[in-house]
Amino acid sequence: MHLDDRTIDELGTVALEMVARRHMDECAFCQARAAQLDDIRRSLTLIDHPVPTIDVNTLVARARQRRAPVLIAGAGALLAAALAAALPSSPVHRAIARVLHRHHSAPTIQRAAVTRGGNSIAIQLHDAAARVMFRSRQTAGTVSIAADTGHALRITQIDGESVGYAVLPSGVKIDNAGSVASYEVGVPAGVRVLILVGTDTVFVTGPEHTAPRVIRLAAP
Amino acid sequence: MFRYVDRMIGDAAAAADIAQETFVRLYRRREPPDDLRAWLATVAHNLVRDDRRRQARRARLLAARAPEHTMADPPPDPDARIGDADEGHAVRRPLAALSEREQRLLLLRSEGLSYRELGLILALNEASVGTLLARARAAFQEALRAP
Repeated sequence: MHLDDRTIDELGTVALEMVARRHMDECAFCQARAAQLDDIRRSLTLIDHPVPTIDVNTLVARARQRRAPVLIAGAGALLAAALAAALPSSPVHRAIARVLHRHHSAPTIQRAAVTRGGNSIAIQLHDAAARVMFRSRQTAGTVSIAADTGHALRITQIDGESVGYAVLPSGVKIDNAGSVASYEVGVPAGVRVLILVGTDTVFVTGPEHTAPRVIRLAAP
Repeated sequence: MFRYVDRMIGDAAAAADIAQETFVRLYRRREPPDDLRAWLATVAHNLVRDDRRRQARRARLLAARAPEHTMADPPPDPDARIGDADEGHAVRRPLAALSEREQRLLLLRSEGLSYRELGLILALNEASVGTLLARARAAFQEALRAP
C-alpha cells in the first residue's frame, strides 16, 4: 500500500504522521512519485517571468479612482450625483461622503500568517492596533502598513532585537531583515489599513466582522 | 497571484495588470472574502477570460480589415523564431494542450492551494479534486515527453 499523491505532495508543507514519514523513507515507488511531482513543479518555473514590483500607493490610487463613479451611482439620484461630481464642497457631496465613510468602522481581530521562503510573519489586528510578529529569523522581511485615509500610524517595537522601522508619510515600514522582533502598530478607529508583506498584499478592513479570521498566503 | 496569471497567459505585462486589478477589486470590497485565496484566484481567472475575449475580438477585427492579397509573406514573429529553442516554450506547449480546468488545477495546486480551495474555485467535490489533478499531471507529463 502506497501513499496517495495528496500526502506525498504535502510532504514539505505539513507534519506527516510518523508512519507515513517512515513509509516515505523506505518506499522507492513513493520516492519516485515525489520526484515526479517535483519535476512538474520545476518544469512550471521555466515559464516564469520576474515578478514586477507594484507600488502600493499606485494600487490604492487606482482603486479610489474608479470607486467614486460606482458609489455615486449607488446614491440613486442622477441630479445629486451630477451636483456631487461637479461641486465637491456642496452639501450633496458631503452627505454622500458621510454615507461612504459610515462603513469604515474600527478593525476587529484578524490574523494574517504569511510564510515566505520558510520564514514566518504573523499579523494580528485588535480593535485599534496591529501587532506584527516575526516568528523566525528573516532573511529578507519588509512589512509596510498604510492607512487608506492618510492617517498617521504609530509604531512601537515590543520585543526582539533592535532593527529598522520607520514612520513615513505613507504609513509605517518595518525592515526586519536578519532578525526576529515584534511590533505594535496603532491604527486609529474607523481607518482601513493595508498591509504589504514583501510583495504579498493583505488588505485589512474591520467593518462587520465579529469573529477572528485567519488569512494565509502560500509560500512562493 | 502574478505567477499564476503569468503561467496561464504567458504575457508578463498583461499578467501584472490583471494581478493589480484583482487586488484593486479586493480593496474595493467592504470586507475581506471568507476564503481570500479562493476569491483572488476566481477573480483573477474571470479577468483572464475577459482579457482573452478582448484579444479574440481585436484579432477578429484586424483579420476583417486585412487586405485580401498580400505581396509577400509577413516577417516571422521574433518570439516564434526563438520559440522552439526556448526552454519555456517546451513547457508552455504541453501546458496549453491541457483543458482549461486541468491547467487551473495544475497551476493553482503548484501555488500551494489546498484540495478544499481547489474544489471551491472549480466547483468540484473535494474528493474528485485528487483524481482530476492526477489526470492533469499525467496529461502534462505525457505532453512534456511528446516530441
